[in-house]
Amino acid sequence: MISGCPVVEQRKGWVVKGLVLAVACVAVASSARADVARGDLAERAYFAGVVLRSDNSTQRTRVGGGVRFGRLSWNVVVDPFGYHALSEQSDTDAFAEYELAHRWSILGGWRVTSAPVLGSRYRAHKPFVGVSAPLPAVLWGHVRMRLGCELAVTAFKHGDHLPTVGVWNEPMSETTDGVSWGISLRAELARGF
Amino acid sequence: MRAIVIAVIALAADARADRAWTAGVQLSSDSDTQEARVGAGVRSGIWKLGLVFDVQPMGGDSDDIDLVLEVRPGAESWGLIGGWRTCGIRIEQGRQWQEQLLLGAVGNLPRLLDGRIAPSFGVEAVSTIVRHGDGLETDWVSFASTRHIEDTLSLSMFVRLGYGAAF
Repeated sequence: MISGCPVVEQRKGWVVKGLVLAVACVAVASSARADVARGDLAERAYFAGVVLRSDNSTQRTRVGGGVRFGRLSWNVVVDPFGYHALSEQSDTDAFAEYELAHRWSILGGWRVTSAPVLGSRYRAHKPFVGVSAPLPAVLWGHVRMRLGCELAVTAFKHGDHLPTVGVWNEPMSETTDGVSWGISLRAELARGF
Repeated sequence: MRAIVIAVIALAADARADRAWTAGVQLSSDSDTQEARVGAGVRSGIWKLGLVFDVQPMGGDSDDIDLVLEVRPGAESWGLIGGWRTCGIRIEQGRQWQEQLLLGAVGNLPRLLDGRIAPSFGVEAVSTIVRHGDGLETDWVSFASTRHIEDTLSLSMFVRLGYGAAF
């Protein structure tokens, strides 16, 4: 049966999630316009939600949260699906955002990617930089939506019984292979404190 | 009847007062299309019709042209998009064409450069309706196997950086 195939279910689920998200965004924004999330009106806030992306740099659905003090935010993104599926890649991020001007922020952080290789786990460390900006909030301002664009480079890789490989000892062609960029969407509940 | 006429006139007046052309780039990090493409469109009231195409049309292994209709029914902040993508894929015999349906949403981001640049974010579900061309069997949308479904459905996110002016 097609419906029993995990890959198909994952793909179908992702498309359905996207459509639901799109329709919900428009429907709710249309009926309850609130461009700025309530949590973002406070000087300090904490937030948690989902991180979605359509490229293959990480798992497509992850969970994140953090705390904001004025213009500076500290964020952590974890990967429940990746941790659960031992045969798949998992990614854990920690990053900071600083709002520069016109509500646009710069961000910088560190990602640890763990992937199964030869019966072990190969861990890649990827610093990344980028920009982020708020989208119009939904659900009467309770859910803040945020775009992120990032450029990541694989700095070094290591693992049990596997060689440690750094960007410094790879030829330029392989170094550029380790550079990726991505777009992410964060939907988060935020509350001031 | 009078109310309908007044409503139609009001909508038309609103559209005339709010017409603009736009042009810009569309960036995407997934593999459905080229990462950077260019676009142009015309907005009238709540409606916007646009074209998005590759920077080097017919120059790569895969070329895409999108015709996208956008509507912002109740708020300026979020809109619905629907469209059609024609994708040409270079193969041994020549070029195979894929016709794809696009459905999604687009949201405004804070403007840049004193409001002259209007960035926006979009998410779209893409479904391949038919594949045809260059001696290959025409293949309509099907969910008959895992392979069919994987080849048929995908989700894409993009960022647009647009410039617009009223006319």
